[in-house]
Amino acid sequence: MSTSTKNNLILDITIFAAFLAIASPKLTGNTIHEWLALALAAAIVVHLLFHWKWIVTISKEFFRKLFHQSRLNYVINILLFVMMTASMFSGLMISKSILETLGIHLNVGRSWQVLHNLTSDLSVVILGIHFALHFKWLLSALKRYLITPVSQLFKRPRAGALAVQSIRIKKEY
Amino acid sequence: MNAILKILLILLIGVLIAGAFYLTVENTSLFSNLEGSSHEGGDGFGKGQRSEGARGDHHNEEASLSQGLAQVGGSLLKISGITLVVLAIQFIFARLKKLRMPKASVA
Repeated sequence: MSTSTKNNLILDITIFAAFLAIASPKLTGNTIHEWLALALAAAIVVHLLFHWKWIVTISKEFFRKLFHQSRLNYVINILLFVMMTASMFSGLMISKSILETLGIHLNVGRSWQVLHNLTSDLSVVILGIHFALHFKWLLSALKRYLITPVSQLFKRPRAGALAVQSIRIKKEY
Repeated sequence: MNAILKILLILLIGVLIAGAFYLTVENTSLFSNLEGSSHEGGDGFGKGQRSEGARGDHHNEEASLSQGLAQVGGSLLKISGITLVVLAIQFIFARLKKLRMPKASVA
C-alpha cells in the first residue's frame, strides 16, 4: 500500500482523536463509545497496513541486534496491539448496542468488565510511550503540513514584495 | 503480499489474542480476584454468577459534555505526562552517550 507522510499524519491524528473520544465514554455516551471503538479497530488495521514494510523488516531482524530503538518500538507496538485487542474484545463482550444489533445475547460475568477497565487503562499508558517514541517524526510532520502552511497564511507580505507586485500590476496595464 | 491477505493476517492475530484472553477469563479466577479489590461493595457477581450486571460501570453512562471533557482532559494529561517522562529518559540517555563518546575517542 503506497503511503505518504501526509496520509500517515491524517490517519494518526484521526486515530488519536477517536482514541481520546473512546477513552472518555461520558463524552459520547455508551452507544457511540461502542461503535466508535469498532471504527477504531478498522482504522488500526489500515494503520498497520501503512506500516507493513517496517513490521516485516523489524520482525525479520528482531533477534539479530542486541539493542536498538526499533526493537523497543516493536515491543511497545506489540503490547499496544495486545492491549487494544483485549480492550475491544472485552468491550464487545459487555457491549449493549453492538450485540443487540447483531441479535446476540451473552450472559457474561463481571470479570469482563474488570478486564475491560484494566486493558483500557494500560492502553492509555502504552499509547503515551508509543507517542513519545514517535515524537520527533510527529513534530516534523506537524511542522511541515500544519504549522508552516497555517503560519504562511497569516504572514504579511514584505514592503519590498508589495512594491514589486505593484510595479508588475502597472506594467500589465 | 496482497492487501486482503495482510488484513486477514492482522485479524487472525487479533482473534488469537482475543481467544487467549477468553480462555484466561473463563477458565481462571485471575480477573474475578481482581474485581474484588477494584469494586469494593459491588453487587456481588462472582465468576460463577452471570448476570446483566456485568454491563456495569461506565457502560451504563449517558453522555455529559462537561464530564466527558473532563475525562478527555484527564486522558490527555496522562498521555502528556508519560510522553514527557519517556522524552526525559531519552534525553538523559543521549546525554550520557555524548559524555562517553569523547572519552572513547581520546583513549
